[in-house]
Amino acid sequence: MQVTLGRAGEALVISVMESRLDAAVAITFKDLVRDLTTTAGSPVILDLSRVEFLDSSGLGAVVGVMKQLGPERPLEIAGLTPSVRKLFRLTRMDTVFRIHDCVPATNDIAAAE
Amino acid sequence: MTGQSELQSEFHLACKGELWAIRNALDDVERFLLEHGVTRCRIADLSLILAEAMTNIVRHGYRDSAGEIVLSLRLEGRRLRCELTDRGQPFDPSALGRSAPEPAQFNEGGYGWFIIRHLSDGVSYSRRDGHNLLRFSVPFDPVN
Repeated sequence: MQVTLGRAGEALVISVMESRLDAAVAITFKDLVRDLTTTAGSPVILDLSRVEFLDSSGLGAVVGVMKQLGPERPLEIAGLTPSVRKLFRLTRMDTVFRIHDCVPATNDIAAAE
Repeated sequence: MTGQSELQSEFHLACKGELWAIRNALDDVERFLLEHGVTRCRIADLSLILAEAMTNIVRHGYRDSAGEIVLSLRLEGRRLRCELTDRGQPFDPSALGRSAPEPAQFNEGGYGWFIIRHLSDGVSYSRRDGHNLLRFSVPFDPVN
């Protein structure tokens, strides 16, 4: 599981560098993002532009990240590929997350595995 | 190979009841379906259904034991018929909700069966001789 951390203005951008965010990596992903979001920045934007496959376990991990961050630091989603967008729509998660069509340009801070 | 025999093709696979094994199994399924001209969109749907069903088997059926998952796919006319068999704990999918959790509740789970039911047709479950058997089908629409 590899992710990179960047900054776009006040926002912290977490880019998932994997093509699959599924049951096999959901817990690892959640733990990794929890560690990374000790870095300041709000909102936290999750860049899913490289993720071609998201299952309900991966979606659950995204929701888990949102809960870990708490109400003061909103989690927003960017760069949904078609199949990932379909799952967000199917579960109506597209109605509760702010979704950006484009991933904002960032200055990279770090990469983590 | 004639078009007719391609339409009747079958695919069988057995994998370990482990989360990482599901990924490899889905790669093999994707290869088989691409060879038969199934559209990327349908493949994405089927991969998601299988991922949800197989993850359920690993997490619940094989929670206390190790075992195999056997997957069979059969292209039949305009349907792709799917069967998943395992020797894990019995379960009853009909007891599970048909609707997705309310999004504003921000549940971390409970979406799997909703996804399976929403994207497939004729889901049926049976328990026989110590096996769980899950059957469903999805539309099959080859590119050509």
